[in-house]
Amino acid sequence: MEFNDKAPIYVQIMDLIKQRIASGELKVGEQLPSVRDLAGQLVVNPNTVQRAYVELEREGYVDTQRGTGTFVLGDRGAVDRLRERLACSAVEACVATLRSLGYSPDEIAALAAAAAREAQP
Amino acid sequence: MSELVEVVHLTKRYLTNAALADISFQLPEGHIMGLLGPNGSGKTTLMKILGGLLYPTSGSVFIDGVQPGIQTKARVSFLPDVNQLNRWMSVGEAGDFFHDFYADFEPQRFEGLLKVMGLRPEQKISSLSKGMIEKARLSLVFARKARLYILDEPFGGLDPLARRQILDALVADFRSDASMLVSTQMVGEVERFFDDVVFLGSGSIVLSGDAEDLRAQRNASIEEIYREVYGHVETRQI
Amino acid sequence: MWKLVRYELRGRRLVSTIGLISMAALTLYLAVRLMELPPYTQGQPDTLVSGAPIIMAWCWILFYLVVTVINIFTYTQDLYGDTGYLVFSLPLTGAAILGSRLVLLVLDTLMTLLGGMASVIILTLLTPGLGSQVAPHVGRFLLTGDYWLMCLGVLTVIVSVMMIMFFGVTFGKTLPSAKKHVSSVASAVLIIAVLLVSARVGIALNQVFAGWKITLEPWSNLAILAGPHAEMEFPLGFPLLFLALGIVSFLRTSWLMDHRLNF
Repeated sequence: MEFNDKAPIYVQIMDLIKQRIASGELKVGEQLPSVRDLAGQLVVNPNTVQRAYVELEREGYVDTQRGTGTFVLGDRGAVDRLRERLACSAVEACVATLRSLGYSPDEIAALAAAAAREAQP
Repeated sequence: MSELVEVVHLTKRYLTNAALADISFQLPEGHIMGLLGPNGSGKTTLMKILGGLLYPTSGSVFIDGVQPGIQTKARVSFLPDVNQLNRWMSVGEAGDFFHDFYADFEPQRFEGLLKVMGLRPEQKISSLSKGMIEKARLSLVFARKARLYILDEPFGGLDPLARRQILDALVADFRSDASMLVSTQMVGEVERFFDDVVFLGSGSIVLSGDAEDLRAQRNASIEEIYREVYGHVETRQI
Repeated sequence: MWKLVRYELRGRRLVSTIGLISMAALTLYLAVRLMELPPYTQGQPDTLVSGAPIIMAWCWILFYLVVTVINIFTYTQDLYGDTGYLVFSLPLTGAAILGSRLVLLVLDTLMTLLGGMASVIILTLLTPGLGSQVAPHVGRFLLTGDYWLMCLGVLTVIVSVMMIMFFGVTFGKTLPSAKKHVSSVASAVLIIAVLLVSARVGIALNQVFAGWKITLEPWSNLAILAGPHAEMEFPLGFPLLFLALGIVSFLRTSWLMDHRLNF
């Protein structure tokens, strides 16, 4: 997987997992891949994956049972809130770019609506 | 985690220059450390001292609390930047040689690695291309269940596919009770594997730290930091 | 250490085999030439008749010198060339590494000595005229203790000299000089100096310990060679000195490898 080497990789892995939780790819209560497996898939240092898991646990997204594995925490509501948060961040970033290019709020809304309709499912 | 490697005020001096000048750092267990720097900065000298091939002028080096010698050689797997194998040997015989002298050599693991690298035991070292010899040597080094792996430019002479194979083997092999010290010029490709980084310049440590922390602090990749650190040296030479 | 000897022998397979086959072929050739000669008649000097065993003896000495040069070369290459990375990374003491070289040296010298004896004896036996005189004595000659004692002495001195050479090479390598040729020059100078001084000292010792002599009759069972010099006196000062230097060199070189290596 391609990572941006300018930023800490463990943060990017955390974002990846949060994305998967928000999209429902990883369900609440589901077990995350083992540190070694995920490191192999992403081709990174297992310590980096370990760090990501530890931070995710600290932030309350997952829970690690010694000897068993790491599981997604939370409930339906928490996942929805995460989904909203991620969506808002994405939109804010996009809007900021368009504003800097000189588009007005109405133009931005029209662009977004058009793009959303044409987007592949 | 205990410190697997401790380097304390290490100096290596020759008649005309100091290859290493007062170097100190630690490498914890289960970590992969990148040793970076231009040619002549002292990387190979440092690795040879850790491998017991060179003796310090002053200062000490401890591997598992023991100074380099026969005990450490049995626990350290060293990959030099040149081919150290006898050309008359076959790949299989090199494996037998390692098996004979290193108690931690695992023959099944060796066979497995050979298969991944596309090598056969009957092949004579003298008949192999540069890249294939490199793969054979890496297989020998990783077939040992060592405490410390020292790899001096392990990617030289390898095509991108082979590099990927090695990196996959690195990840698959990763053990939390062993550590790795890797020097490489291919910083961009390998930096995602480093837990810690040490930048050497003219025998001294110019910069060191946790790789992720360095990225966060400087908003830059390790490769970019490399260019920052050594950039001024290059311009001066012009 | 013996494991290392095994691998080093395997590495020399080709060179040793070629060498031994060439020497056997040469012996065979001279033997066939001798056998083809017509019966010896008076007044017909044949250089081959008088010279075959001696030619062969010199060939074996030359062979041994070549093997010695190969030994010095492989020692330097194996330990200080790229393969040195392999040897010095092994969990072995300097004594074990050096010991394996010592074993090879002894094997080489023994092989050359025995091979030389065998081919010279064969050719002597085939030499018309000489053969019939020597044949009855060969068996007894081979059992002459004094002869083997003399050979042991020669073997000891040769191996000791080689040990001194290895010491010189290793010492040069431990000097804190980054320039390769400085170390090589230093070692060469050291070796020559040690050998010259030892030779002088050895001769002086012989005179000082004039009483330390061993009287041997190595050729007593080969009357034809003995002539009026059946008894030979060997001063012990010289060889004992070299033996002592050889032992000291071995110990010192092992220590250098374990504590001062500058690979």
